[in-house]
Parts: sequence; C-alpha cells; structure tokens
Amino acid sequence: MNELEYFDRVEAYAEGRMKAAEKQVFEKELDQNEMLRKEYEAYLASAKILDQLAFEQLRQKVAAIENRGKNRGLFPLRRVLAIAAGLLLLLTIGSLWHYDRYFSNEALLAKYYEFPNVSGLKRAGDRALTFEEAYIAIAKKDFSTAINLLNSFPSTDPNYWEAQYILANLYLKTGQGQKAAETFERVLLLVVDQPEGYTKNIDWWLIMAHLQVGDLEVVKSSLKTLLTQPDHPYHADALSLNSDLNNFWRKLK
Amino acid sequence: MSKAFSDKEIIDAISAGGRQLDKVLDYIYHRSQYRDSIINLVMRWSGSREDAEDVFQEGICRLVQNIRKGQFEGRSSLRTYLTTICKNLWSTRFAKVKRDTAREQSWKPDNDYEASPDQIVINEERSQLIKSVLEQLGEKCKQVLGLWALDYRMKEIAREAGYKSAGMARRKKYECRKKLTALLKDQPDLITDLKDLL
Repeated sequence: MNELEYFDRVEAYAEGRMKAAEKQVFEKELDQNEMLRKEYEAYLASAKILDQLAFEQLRQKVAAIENRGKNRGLFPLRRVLAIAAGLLLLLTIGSLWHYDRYFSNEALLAKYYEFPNVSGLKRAGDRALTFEEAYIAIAKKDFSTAINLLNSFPSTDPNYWEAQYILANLYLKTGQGQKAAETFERVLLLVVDQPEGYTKNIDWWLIMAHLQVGDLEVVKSSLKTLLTQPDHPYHADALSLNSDLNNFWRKLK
Repeated sequence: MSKAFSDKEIIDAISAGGRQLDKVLDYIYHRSQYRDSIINLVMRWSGSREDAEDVFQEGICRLVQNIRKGQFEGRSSLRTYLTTICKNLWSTRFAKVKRDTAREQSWKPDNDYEASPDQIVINEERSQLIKSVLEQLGEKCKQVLGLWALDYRMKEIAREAGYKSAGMARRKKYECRKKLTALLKDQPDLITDLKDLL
C-alpha cells in the first residue's frame, strides 16, 4: 500500500466516513502498521496546524470587517454622489428626450404644419399634363419627381402661381426650409389677385419655413404680427405656437 | 435595521462557522455595543484609539476561537467574557509594551477565562518549525484549509479563494491537507510537540 492510499484511509477514518467493519480493520492495522500509524499521527498533528490556519483566516476576516467599517463613513457620501450624478444624468437624458419629443423645432413643425390639399388647384389647358403628372407623383409621395416637374414652370409668372404654391409646400415637406421660404415669398407676389385665403395660408407657412431653418427671430416677429390679427385663420395656432416657443423646456434647452 | 442577536444566537452562529460566522462578526463589529464598550475601556486604561482597536480585533478572534473550541462555559454573558479577554490581552501583551506599571498592577491576567496568549507556539523552535511548514504549504492552501477549518462550505471557499466550483475547492482542500500531512511527516519532533497539545 502506498502513502497516498494511507492518507485516503486515514482521512476517511478521521472524518468518520468508514463503515464499522472497515473501521475495526483500520484500528487493528494502526497497531501493527508503523507507516500507517505515522501517517495517522501526522494527520492528527495537521489538525493542530489547521487551528492556527483558522485563526489566521479569522484575523484576516476581522481586519477586513474593521477596514470596511473605517471606509463606511466615506461610503455613503460616495454613494449619495453617485446616485445624485445618476439622477442628474437621467434627468438630463429625460429632459433632452422630452424636449426633442415635444418642443424641438422639428416637433413643433410636425405639430403645426400640414401639407395642404392641392387637388383643387388642377390646371386646364396649357401644361395641364405636366401638372397632372406632378399630382400623381405627390399622391405617390414621390416628392422629388413632383419638385422637378413643378420646377419646369416659370417661377415669376402669375399664370403659374399654383405650381409655385405647391412647390413651396413640397420644399417645406421635404425639409428644404430655406428654399420653401424663398418660394413662399415669391408666391406672395404672384397671388395678389387670388382669394385672400391663399395669402393667409402663406403667412403661416412662411413661419413654418423659418422655424424649419431655425430662424427664430423671424418666427417670433412674424408671430407677433399674426397675433395682432384675431381674425386670421391661423390666429389660434399662432397663440399656441407662441406659447410652445416660450415653454420651460425650450428655455431649459 | 437588522435584529439584535442574543448571546445564544451569537454562540450558535460562531459554532456553525461559515457565512453565519461572517454575519455575526459583522453584527459584533458594527451593530452591537461590544466594540464601543471595549474601545472606551481600553482608552480609559490609557490606551490609544489604535491600541483599543487592536485589542478589540484580537479579542474578537480569541472569543471566536474559544467558543469554537468549547472553552466558553457560559458562566458569564458574552460581553463580560469578551471584556475579560480584552482585559487580559491588554495587560499581558499591550501593557508590556507600554510599560505602564500602575496599569499592570491593576490588571492581572484572569486565567479562569483566557488561556495563555498563544496555545500553539510554546517555544521559539516550534514556532520556527511551524512557520517553515506553513511557508512550504503556500498561501492558497493556507487560505483553503483555514476557511475549511472555520466550517465554510465548499462553494463559499470556492468563491473566496477564486475557484470556479465547489468541486475544485474540494479537490484543492484534499491536496492541501495531504501536502500538510506530508510536510509534517518530515518533522517528527514537531508532530510530538503538537501531539502533546492535542
């Protein structure tokens, strides 16, 4: 029997894992086998060393608890600061999200601008087919084709004011605010002989175009003018937009 | 706030070892009056705050050791017992350094409660032999065997010692115990010395 087997048997005996018969044999052998007895005595002696090892571990644990206690005074402050920083970050992210969702220029544009129903503007006669193709493209939401087609009409001829009127809205619809603003300005000169409703619409859409560009000074000054006209069809929208522009979230931003 | 432990609950947890021991050590340190009262006492005995913390730390280790060895007979409350241990520690170990005669006269070791300061190492030679054995054993084995001797479960030992599983910790414990036994077999005199202490 080798030393390894001796150790295994000694350990099984010392840890009470032997059956009664096995134990009896082991104890008898212990009296007769010096090697086994030495292994057993060394094993018992190691138990004493284990006490010392246990005591060392205990010391380390107690020292660790002591150190934790010393750091405990600092920890809450660190934790409070970490939580505060986390909350601040969440608040910032939440605020940005809230702003973007409800009060950014894009959000306000989506709220206050709607592409007009242009079906009543169909032309008869001269270049009616091109107009028809532009309508079809708009219906298919193929706005770039529609823009190209409408751009083929003379831009300063009052006879083709409808093309510019729709074109300006298409620019606005496709995010080309600057072009939309310039086109609306031009259309205002082309519709002087048209019903007043067209001019009123353009007043509002011009504000939308400047909002899209981010030219808030122009937006505010145009709104101010519009707010003095209670009969204007967009007066209520102007009041609401003015309020949104002065909202806390926009100021926070 | 966690509940207060009774003396019996503390003794049971210390005897059980493992995580229960951790829990009760944390309680004794941070949520009981034990620490403050010992520190105040040692400071009243002219010890510094650092002395007082050292005495308390060592006292707790002794308290745990004595309870686990069944040396606490329950003749007094745990608090009184710990105070006695700390008082003896102060007078036999710390006060010697301080050379405060008056204090030494006032507090003589109370051997009814506390055994000699180091029961294992009875002389320098033995101490050196044990030290040599432990050095050869290695830090990891010391940790694993120490935790095992404090009745930590294998999965707890695995977590503390950084093994992936309880099985690996069990294997390590087996190898370490075997190594320790083999190292001792090379030191028959030490075995005899240790045997006398059994």
